[in-house]
Amino acid sequence: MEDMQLELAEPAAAEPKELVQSPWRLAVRHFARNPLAVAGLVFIAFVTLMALFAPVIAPYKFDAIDLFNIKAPPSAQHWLGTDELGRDELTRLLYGARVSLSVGLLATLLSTLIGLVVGAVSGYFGGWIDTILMRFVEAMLSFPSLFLLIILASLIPTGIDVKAMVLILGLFGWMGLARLIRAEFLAIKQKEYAEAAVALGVPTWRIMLRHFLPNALGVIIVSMTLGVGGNILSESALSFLGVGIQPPTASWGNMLTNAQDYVWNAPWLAVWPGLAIFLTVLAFNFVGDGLRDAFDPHSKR
Amino acid sequence: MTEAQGQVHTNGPANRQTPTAGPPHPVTQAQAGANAQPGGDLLQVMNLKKYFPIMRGIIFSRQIGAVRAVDGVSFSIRRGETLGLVGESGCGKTTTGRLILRLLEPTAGKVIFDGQDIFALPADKMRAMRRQMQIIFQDPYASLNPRMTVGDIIGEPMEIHGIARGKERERRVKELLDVVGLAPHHARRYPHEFSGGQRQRIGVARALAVNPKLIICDEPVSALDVSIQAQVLNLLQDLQREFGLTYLFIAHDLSVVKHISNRVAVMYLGKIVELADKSTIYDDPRHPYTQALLSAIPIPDPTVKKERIILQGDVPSPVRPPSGCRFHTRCPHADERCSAEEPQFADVGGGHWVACHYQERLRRRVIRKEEETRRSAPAAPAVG
Repeated sequence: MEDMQLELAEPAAAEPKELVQSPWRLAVRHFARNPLAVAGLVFIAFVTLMALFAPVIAPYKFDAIDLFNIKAPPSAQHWLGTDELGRDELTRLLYGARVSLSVGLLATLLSTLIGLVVGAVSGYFGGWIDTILMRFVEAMLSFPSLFLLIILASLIPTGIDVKAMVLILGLFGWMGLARLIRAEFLAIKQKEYAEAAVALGVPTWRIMLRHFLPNALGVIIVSMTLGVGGNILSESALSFLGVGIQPPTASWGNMLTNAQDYVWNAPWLAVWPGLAIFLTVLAFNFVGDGLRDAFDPHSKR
Repeated sequence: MTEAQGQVHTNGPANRQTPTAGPPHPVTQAQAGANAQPGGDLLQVMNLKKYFPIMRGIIFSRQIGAVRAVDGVSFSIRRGETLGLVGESGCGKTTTGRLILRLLEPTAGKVIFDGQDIFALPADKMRAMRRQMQIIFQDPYASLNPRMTVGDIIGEPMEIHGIARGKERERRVKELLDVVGLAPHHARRYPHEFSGGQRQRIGVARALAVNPKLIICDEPVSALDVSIQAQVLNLLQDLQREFGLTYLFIAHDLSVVKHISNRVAVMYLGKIVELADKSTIYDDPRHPYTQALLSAIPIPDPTVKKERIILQGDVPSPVRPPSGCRFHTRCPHADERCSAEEPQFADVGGGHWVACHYQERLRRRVIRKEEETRRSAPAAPAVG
């Protein structure tokens, strides 16, 4: 078909303003055809908005205690009920979303940055640099990460805040991505367009940024999306174990900690944060899967 | 259109030489200033070697052997000429091309390009030198970055070498697209929107973007449909005439090379076994390997009877190449001498270089055979 276009002498003056089918645009179109992924994206957008506007939306202050109204079931005053100190559950859920989402996003951003640099350098340059970096990655992976995180968290004297949480999760979560990017760079290195760039005299940093990175971006975005879900889970787990975000700051994880004592007489205290974690992580996974399909050249229909 | 092309390329007129003129230097004397004259060698390759190490062990790895991909190759290319480099897959012809562009570092040997030993150049000088030599790849689907527009693919090298930027770059990209037979508005598209032949044209335009002197064509038509092959070959020839380009044309069969080359080098297992003018190679092949390759070219004439030489066995491993003459394991004429003593790559007259102990005898054999066929079949139309 394209050959025919070539032969049909096109009027040189009138350059048709046709829709350029960039690979990104194709990926977006493919993504939009996946209902689960789109639903996930809508849900994430919803949670993000809720978290952003929590101070405006929330009916109470996040640490407002009402001792006359503890462990109240859902009602008109407290839509989702109250906890053991009479704090409004909906309010705490909204504020918890801020913590969970920002920890999830920022920690993923940090680990992506580290993983990207390590993986790119390792895959591009190879040789002894690659050997050293990859042995380091393997050493990091051999640590029992949950225990390590618990120990680290308990070592921080001022208690864990969002910043510390991001650092802990980010600094210990980049290895998988580093390996992924290394593999991707190794594969791209074998492509002739990589050789062409060298042969054209393109500077090394520019080859990595303009020729390698855009071709690895699909993998990076997918892994980031899945990483956010994973980091939300990790944050919840650490907070649940009491070494994460400390009360009175609400996080979905520490809300669950308190809830386990009252799971028989106030089950909603466990249900709401549990459901929030479950749905958010699920949404991120759906989006991640949708993106993977969208970027995968083999799944083109 | 011709005017536009002239603006794109500031190279002088093509210095095309008759293939037979001037002394050929397959094994070149180190003469630094010799290529200053227009008719001299643009490229001299001297005893080039590339051994890829075979490593064993994970952390404390050691070398247990080497793949001798290129094992002592020497030839030269004159300005404006096309040298065809032919051989089976795995014989080292692609590696040779990569070495000349310094996409690989050699194990030994020299490549003198335009008077400069390119392996001696520091990184920054080498990057500037890359403007002079370019490559067209075999696989048009792998050789274009799928995330860049055609305009960026062709325009980027101009920017890097300070040839053109901004509006000027855009204009030159469009000119180049025109030169290779594409439309200017294709600059905004992505590679996946083009067919194989069109992509190869984009690859050609990218190579031309920096006004190179030498282009290494690494099987540029092998991946294309037969109907498209001729188009691309003709395009390459037109461009050579127009911009005075010098080509090293790598191919795996002699028929494609015949179309475009002035001289032809035949490679076998990391070494060049025969090098001569095109007409000499095709009419008077001396090396039994060249003879076998030639006999594999089909002749579209049912009345012509041809003796087909079918080579037995596979190409030996370049890890442990055969002793003596590397071809002796498959050569129909080999004897003890061939397995014991490596033949010299020597000029047998008129710039015809052959590496075979019995090249003279083999030549007579060929002639005698021809006479026999002529005598036994007088009805056959007289050849030539």
